[in-house]
Amino acid sequence: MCANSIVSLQGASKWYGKKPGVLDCNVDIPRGKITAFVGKNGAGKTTAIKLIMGYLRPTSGRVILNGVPRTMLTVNGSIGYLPESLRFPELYSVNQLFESLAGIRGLRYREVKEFLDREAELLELQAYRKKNLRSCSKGTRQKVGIIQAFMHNPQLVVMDEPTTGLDPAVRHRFFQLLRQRQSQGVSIIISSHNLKEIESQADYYLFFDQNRIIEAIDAEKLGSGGGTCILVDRDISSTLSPKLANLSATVVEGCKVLVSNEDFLNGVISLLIGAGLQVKNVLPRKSNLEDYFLNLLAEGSERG
Amino acid sequence: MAYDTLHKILSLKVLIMSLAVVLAIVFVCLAMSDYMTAAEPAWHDLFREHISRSYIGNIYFFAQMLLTPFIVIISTLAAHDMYRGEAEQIYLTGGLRKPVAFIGRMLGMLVYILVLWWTLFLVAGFVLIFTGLGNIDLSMVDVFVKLSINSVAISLFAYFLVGLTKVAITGILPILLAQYWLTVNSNITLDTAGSALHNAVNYLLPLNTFSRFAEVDIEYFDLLMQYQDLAPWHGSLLLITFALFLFLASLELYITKQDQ
Repeated sequence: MCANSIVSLQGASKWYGKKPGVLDCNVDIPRGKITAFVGKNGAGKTTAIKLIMGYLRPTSGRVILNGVPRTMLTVNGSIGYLPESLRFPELYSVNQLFESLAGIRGLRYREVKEFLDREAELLELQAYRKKNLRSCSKGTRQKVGIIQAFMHNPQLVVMDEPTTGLDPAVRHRFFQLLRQRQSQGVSIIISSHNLKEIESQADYYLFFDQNRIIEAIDAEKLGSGGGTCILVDRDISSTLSPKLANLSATVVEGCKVLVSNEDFLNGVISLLIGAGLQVKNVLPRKSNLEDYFLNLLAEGSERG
Repeated sequence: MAYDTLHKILSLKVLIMSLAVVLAIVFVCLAMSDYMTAAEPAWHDLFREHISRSYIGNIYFFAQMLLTPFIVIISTLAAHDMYRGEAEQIYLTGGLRKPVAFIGRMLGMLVYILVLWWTLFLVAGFVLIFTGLGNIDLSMVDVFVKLSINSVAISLFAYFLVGLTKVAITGILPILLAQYWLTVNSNITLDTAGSALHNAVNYLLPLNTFSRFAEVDIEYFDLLMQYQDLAPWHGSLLLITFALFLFLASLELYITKQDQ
């Protein structure tokens, strides 16, 4: 286990009868960072989250939380949680729910009131504080869920599809809130299948496919892993494409040549100039999360 | 947690339905008790005791037939939410231990069940007083206490089944058992010996109200006559042991098998 990890999955698998939930997960989730679980629906993200939270018992392997192996009786004292679907008691108002949760978590309402006011302001929830939860929209209930997850000042916050039902402005503020909390040392795990939304929001990505973690990578490495893009003055897909195809890790897209291996960069540029083309620009190509994920899936299916 | 459970259970629909069931039991029983047909003051005086007995007897019977199943259905829904609802998991963050959460939930359910029976008792008692049919006496309190404890045990049975199978529909099975219990104890008029099955049921789910039924002097309850010589603690002890077992089994399931 990595010394600086808040959660470690060590060979953790979960089977629902004969159906796999997640299989053989081995990963260290870094402390004090935002970690994103990325994958298609049913890829195993939610099961992994439930294993971390201790709501499921691994069929094999184990989950280490803060250096201590989890059991079904481990108390989630310093953990905040937002599940995928929320159903609150309908006769509560938003404030009453916060009051009740504060009481259950051993906090006095007035201790958390300032926090609640601040976060409610940020997520535009103030107008709904006295409203009955029954009459609140899905988005409003989601905001309530987000705020309650941070209410007891946890060291780890786990959120399953947290932006469901949020409008773009609030979604932006939500990620602001995550960054703010992360800068205070809180470790955050979020899951999403919306790659565009989660791109550039996390520091560490875990990719799930077919109930396995297929890749764990730092955001920095992900961003710099895209190679280089060379822009030329005309479309070369039909003329130079076959020649360039001989060089591995080189792709031609119209006026663009994408070189993913830096060793070939000079050779490709020489070849382009030698063919009488004008090189207009050479840019580092930032890999986008979606491309990266789709490549991983393609590699996976090639491996069979 | 118990307070939260009450909020969880009592949606507006459940609140209205609970009151509707209680009022329906009280007033349907009154309507069935010859109170309407013997409305003249002289007839009233003459048949007061008869009407009163039949009214109270109907209340006991319909309460078991309607209120206990209603409570089991509500318990089943609450149990399903507790074992399988994702929102339950947010309560288990921030330092609350699972056994404490479970006990809190049970206490909330207990309060709901007892308040429901208490409301029925009060409304039935007021009707008794306002119609001039009689007064609330200790024996009536005694039967209501026994019936409500019985409801608690059957509800725990529903919790246990939902926890075990994760399927809400199995939690409704105790209703069938309760109805069967009611049937064997009110409809068998000839065979007082009781079969092995009847005896087994008697030992498993004693309603423990037979000493009161005996006073009513209706031969319907003769299956229970054979137990008249047994001390009342016998049934109570079995019921409490049974409820305790179900409570511990449900607690174990809540802690270890919240798997979805």
